[in-house]
Amino acid sequence: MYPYLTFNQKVLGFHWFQELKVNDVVVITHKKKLIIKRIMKVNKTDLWVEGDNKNESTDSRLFGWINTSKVVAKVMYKL
Amino acid sequence: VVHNKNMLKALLNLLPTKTVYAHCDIPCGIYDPNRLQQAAHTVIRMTQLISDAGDDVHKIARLTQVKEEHAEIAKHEVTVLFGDYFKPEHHQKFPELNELVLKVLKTASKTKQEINKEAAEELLSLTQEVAEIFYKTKGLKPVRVKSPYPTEGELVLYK
Repeated sequence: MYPYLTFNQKVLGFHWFQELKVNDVVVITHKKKLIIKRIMKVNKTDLWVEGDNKNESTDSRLFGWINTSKVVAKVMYKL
Repeated sequence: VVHNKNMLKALLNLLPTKTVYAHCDIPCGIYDPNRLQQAAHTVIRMTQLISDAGDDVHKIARLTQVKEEHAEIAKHEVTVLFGDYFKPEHHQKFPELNELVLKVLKTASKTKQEINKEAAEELLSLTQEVAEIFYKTKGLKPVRVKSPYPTEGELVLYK
């Protein structure tokens, strides 16, 4: 997620959010791990997420659309 | 205001944290086509040495084992690049990538099945093509240099 986030950066995320929109940064569960990505596209049920560091990120370009139920938190604040 | 902001930060820092990852395989982003090329060089070298081994069954067995292992390493390395590194935009820019990777896999298998100098050299040539595409996707200029190996073949590095 560089340059938005750097290694070991702390962020504050909320599990309760009203809506998910393009450009939001979200924490999602993927293969039993928590990963952090930016929403690039949204439809009714799914999200297309990508990392900001396009050259290195493993994201929807590889694993496709993900269901919104996978979203654990929406990032509100960078510490 | 500054004081309040620092207070807020201090308070937020007290909250429990969970580690989240920006990449799926950690540490991600460390990909290199060198091991792929080295494996192909090793397959060539083992093929040469097997041809020179005469009737020494023990030596042939050892050389064959290493040939098998390195053909398998080549298959593994190209699979990792294909599955983890190359992205759709890379495939768009280099549409030959799918077929090239498939050829690496098939040719590596052939070098395992046979003692085939041409197949081994073909494997190296294919891995060099993969390396060239890899460096181009990184915005680097690939260059071919003479390898320091006894195969005397080339290695693709970058400027």
